[in-house]
Amino acid sequence: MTGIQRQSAAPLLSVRDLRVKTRQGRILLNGTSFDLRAGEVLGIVGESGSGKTMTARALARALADGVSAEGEVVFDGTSLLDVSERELRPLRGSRIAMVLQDPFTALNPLQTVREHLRESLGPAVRRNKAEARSEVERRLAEVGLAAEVADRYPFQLSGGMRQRVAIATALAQDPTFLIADEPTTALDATTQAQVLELLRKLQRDRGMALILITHDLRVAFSVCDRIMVMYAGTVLEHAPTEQLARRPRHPYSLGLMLAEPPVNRYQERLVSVPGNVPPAHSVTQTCAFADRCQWRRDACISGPPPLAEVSPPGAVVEHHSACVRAADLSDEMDAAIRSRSTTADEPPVRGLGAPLLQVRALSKTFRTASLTGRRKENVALADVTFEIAEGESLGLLGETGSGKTTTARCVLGLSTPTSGAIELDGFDISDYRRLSREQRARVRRLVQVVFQDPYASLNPSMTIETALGEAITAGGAGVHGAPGTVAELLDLVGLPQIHARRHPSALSGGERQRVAIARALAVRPKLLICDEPVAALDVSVQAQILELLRDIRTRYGTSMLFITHDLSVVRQMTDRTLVLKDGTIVEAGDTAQLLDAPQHPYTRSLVASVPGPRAATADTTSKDVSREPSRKA
Amino acid sequence: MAELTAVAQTVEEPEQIEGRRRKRPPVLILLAGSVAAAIAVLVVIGPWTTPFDPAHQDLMNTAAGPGGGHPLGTDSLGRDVLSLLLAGARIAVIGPVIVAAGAVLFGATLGMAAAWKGGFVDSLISRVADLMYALPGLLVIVVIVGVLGGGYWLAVAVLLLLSLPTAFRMTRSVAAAQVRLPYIEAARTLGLSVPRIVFRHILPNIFPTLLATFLLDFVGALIGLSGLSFLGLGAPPGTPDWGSLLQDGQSMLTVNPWVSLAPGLLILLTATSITLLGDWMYDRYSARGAQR
Amino acid sequence: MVAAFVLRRLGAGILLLLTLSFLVFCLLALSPGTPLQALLGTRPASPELVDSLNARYHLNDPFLVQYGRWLAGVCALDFGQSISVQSDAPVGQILSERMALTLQLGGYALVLILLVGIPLGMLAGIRRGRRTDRAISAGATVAISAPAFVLAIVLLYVFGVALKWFPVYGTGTGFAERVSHLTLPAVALATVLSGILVRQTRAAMLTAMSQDYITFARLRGLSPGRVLVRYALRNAALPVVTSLGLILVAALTSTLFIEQVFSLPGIGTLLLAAVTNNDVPVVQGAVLVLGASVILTNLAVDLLGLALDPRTRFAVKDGA
Repeated sequence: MTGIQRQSAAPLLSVRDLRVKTRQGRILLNGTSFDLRAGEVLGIVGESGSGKTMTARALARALADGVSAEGEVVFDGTSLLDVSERELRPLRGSRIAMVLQDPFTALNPLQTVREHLRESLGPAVRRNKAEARSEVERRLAEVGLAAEVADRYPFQLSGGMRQRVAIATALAQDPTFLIADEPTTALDATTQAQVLELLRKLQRDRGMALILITHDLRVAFSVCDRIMVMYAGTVLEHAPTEQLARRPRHPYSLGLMLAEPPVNRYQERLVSVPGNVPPAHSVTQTCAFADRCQWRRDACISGPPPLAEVSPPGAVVEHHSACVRAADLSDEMDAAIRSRSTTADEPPVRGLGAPLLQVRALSKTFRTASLTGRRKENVALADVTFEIAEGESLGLLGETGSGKTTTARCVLGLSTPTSGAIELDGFDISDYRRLSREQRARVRRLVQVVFQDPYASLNPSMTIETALGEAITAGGAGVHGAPGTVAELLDLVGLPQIHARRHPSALSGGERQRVAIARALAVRPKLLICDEPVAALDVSVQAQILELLRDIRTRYGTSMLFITHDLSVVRQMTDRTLVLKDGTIVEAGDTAQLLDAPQHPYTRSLVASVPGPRAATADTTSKDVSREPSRKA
Repeated sequence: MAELTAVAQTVEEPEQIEGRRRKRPPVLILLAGSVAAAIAVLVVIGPWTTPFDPAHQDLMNTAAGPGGGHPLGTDSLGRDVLSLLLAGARIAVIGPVIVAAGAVLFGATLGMAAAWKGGFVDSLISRVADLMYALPGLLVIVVIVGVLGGGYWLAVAVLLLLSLPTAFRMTRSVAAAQVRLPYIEAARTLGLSVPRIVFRHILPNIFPTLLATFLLDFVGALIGLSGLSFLGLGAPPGTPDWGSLLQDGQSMLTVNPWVSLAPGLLILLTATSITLLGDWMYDRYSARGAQR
Repeated sequence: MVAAFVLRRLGAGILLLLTLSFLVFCLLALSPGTPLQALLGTRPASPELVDSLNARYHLNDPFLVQYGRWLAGVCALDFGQSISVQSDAPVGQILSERMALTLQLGGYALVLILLVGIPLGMLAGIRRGRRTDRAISAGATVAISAPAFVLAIVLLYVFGVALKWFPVYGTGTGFAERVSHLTLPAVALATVLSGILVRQTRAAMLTAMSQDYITFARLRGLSPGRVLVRYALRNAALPVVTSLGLILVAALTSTLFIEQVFSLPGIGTLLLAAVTNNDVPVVQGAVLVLGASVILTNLAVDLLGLALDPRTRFAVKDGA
């Protein structure tokens, strides 16, 4: 039996051998078993394809059409998988609730917040008008929202406010069990921290059992009592939070923790897990992680390893690992974790050259012009000034709507600034349209870009070979020092040659991002703009891409403009950093200094919002967020 | 305009159900395809397959029911209905093909121009298209063609003009979705020429939508042109044409209903088959073009 | 705010009608036949007769003067006299008689659509992928591919000629007879329009049903009825309402063909007759009536959209 507390109170939720299959019989989730007691917080952590969302949806009986669950799920005496939807309904909302990932789509666009809350309340409260009214306000206050919010429509609220409303409606009947599926993933960092704190507070106040699904180990560490690590549809490790953080007993959990780039210090070599996540159905008869494991033995692939107890003697809560070599590897794994927390490398000091990119007083205002003459103006950038020297890497840190992508687009000529000047290697590129044909061709070879979404970065109807070949031709054959062939480019970004003939759809996210980098490098640019290059990738793959970019910088001395919301990426990848908020630079400076001793309140709030271990951010009560800007129509 | 830096760690969680697999088209689509193919063959060889000369009038044997060597009977002038139908496929199809091809060619060009340029050009063309789209096209054609005294090619030209908004809107929406994607922006950053981006990058990814638009426009034009013939404003009198035959037969419904019913059902069959094909193509490929 | 929006739209509509009538006037001037020929008919063109006709109908005035005279009349609600369709009858009167019949036909069809078309579309959307859905969707595909005149002729043959359940032409007198005469045309019209509506409704329902907010509503334990009505139907109504303009366009063209098949003296057959006989005032009048109905419907659709969707409502308030 897995992960049961040794105290023998009956669990609130008991899951045994839960499996999820498609109609065609393909396995998406291998047998999963665990218990959850009242008031307990269980984190389910995994990358894409791990089956964590499938688990959550199976428990809530909210699987998509064509996917079905089997096994045993007993909630407080009711076997959830065996009852009909009609029998289940009395439990929904009042006993079991679920919060979904995307707050932008979870609310009915045609209904006010008040209507959402009122309909979610218990029938007794709902029918009494006065009581319902005061209850709605009380519930809003509970999630840190002002009473006025009640009469707004979802589209008038920011993402964070919507997620608060969603949480309030889910908890309107005070359920004893809440499933939160990536509740903060779609939110900005500062909002994310506030919503997490709110969830934790609500959970504690009510003594509610909570399952938190997340891809972010740091989030799980900061909120959960126990954590279950999933991979390719299988549970690999299940342990108390402290235990997992200090003494992981599965190579994958260890790899995941090591792959997370640290925020608080520079790390000379970013560790990554090689390879890609396999589909669940392909690893049912072996250790799911075997292919990517450095400690693999024949025993690992001879059959699916059982989830066995590895608890230290006298432990209160059991620790389970699905690694057959957990015992012999324990010292090695402990050493790896310890070494991580002691190494603090000095960031390399690079001799910087002359200024390559100079941006002066850059402003961009978007106008939605219409033929009727009515227009709206939206200031995206106001008076932004900065420089990048040859060989330098500059970070541009900001949240959604801060103007960081607009800056990149202006430099790339995808967007024309309203005012201000941009100079790149002696060319005035404030307006690409004013450049002569030759000048434009030369500028295009000076600056290139890697975008966030690897899935949309490549033309789906072109093979990798064609796409890269086109980029090589575009650069004009024989650019000095440029990789001249598709094969060389693939080599450079560490992709096997067989990928040349493939279409992007046959590649994983990380592989596609490598192709996108190769395409940008085909013209051997002096400046590479990286717009959130790892934000859409799994943690175990992120470090691979970051290392590749570092390698390119060392090899070619390429300057970089690194656009990101992620403090750890800034820490690892840049020399200097600008913090952008609402289109203006609020703070600028040496990356290490800026992150270690932030000056501007906004930068401080960004640094403070990084999820850390629970002790670090103890009992701060939820902040009032009515100041959070709301969205206007 | 607004940044879309959705912090998309796993927003796109591909642990969904396996996508629609490539499989054989359903039976209905195969059937529709065969009908379309049969009609296409008729267009080419139609005039040589007729059991009788479709122009031959047998005034002694008018409006006769099926039988006597005429499987579908004869019309008011004693012409063999089956022969008229077979010979009429050409004129029934060629006009709509021209309309649909022209509409897609010009409409798609405008649509891509609007999507690519955006801003003022886009809103100008879009407004005009919206305005035209709100017009009852066939009534406009009836007025124009009727006032100017009829004429098949005039009808084709006006119909083509009025089919532009549909093709424009469909192309614009799919092309605009592509233009915003990073791979197009990457191509621009590489300094690729606009024609290269349009023809090598955008066009292949929206081609299925264009094909679907072509098929649906074809159906519209088939209905429109045969309708005009039915009103006496389309094909010149004397040509073997499905719409005119239908109209001619209406007065003979009691004697030989096939003069009307046969061309009617033939138009219906053709239109339904092509609609099925167009819908299927649209559903199947339009979403796929965008990503993965 | 909304009043200003309506006024602005109405102003634009009137401008549009002016342009339209001018274009049609130009078109009529280009016509190979002349009103004079139509007026003369088979009578010999004696100079006296020609002169008197020219004088009476101001046929020798310059083009713009003729248009101006017509426009001045329209402003005084005088649409002039018919030249050839129904000689010398006031156009206003002809239009209202013809329009009355067309509206009866349309109203009858509307009842059928509301009773059959929309419920079928919703049913298909709710039971997506099952046999009910497939049958309804297949029927809708045939219905939208079927030209109105083919459908009308088939109905006419089956129920009028072969089964003799309904009369084959004419309008009948008295309510009961009128209903029986209009049944086949109304069924034909309703079928064509239901085809479009079923597809729109089904697609809208499918989109709405697959949204996160439906899942979330279900997960909160809301009653299935509430989820269906407040969540699915309300959200599905938006795209359907927006497509009503398209439906009207289809309705107008289909009506022309259906009136023609069943020899009904409605606005469609009037337009056709006026156009082929070069009856300038009648063409102008009919175009004006039809144009106004398109413009008003589109305005109504937009207002309905405003009523249904808070997002557009606030956009109008903000003056966006």
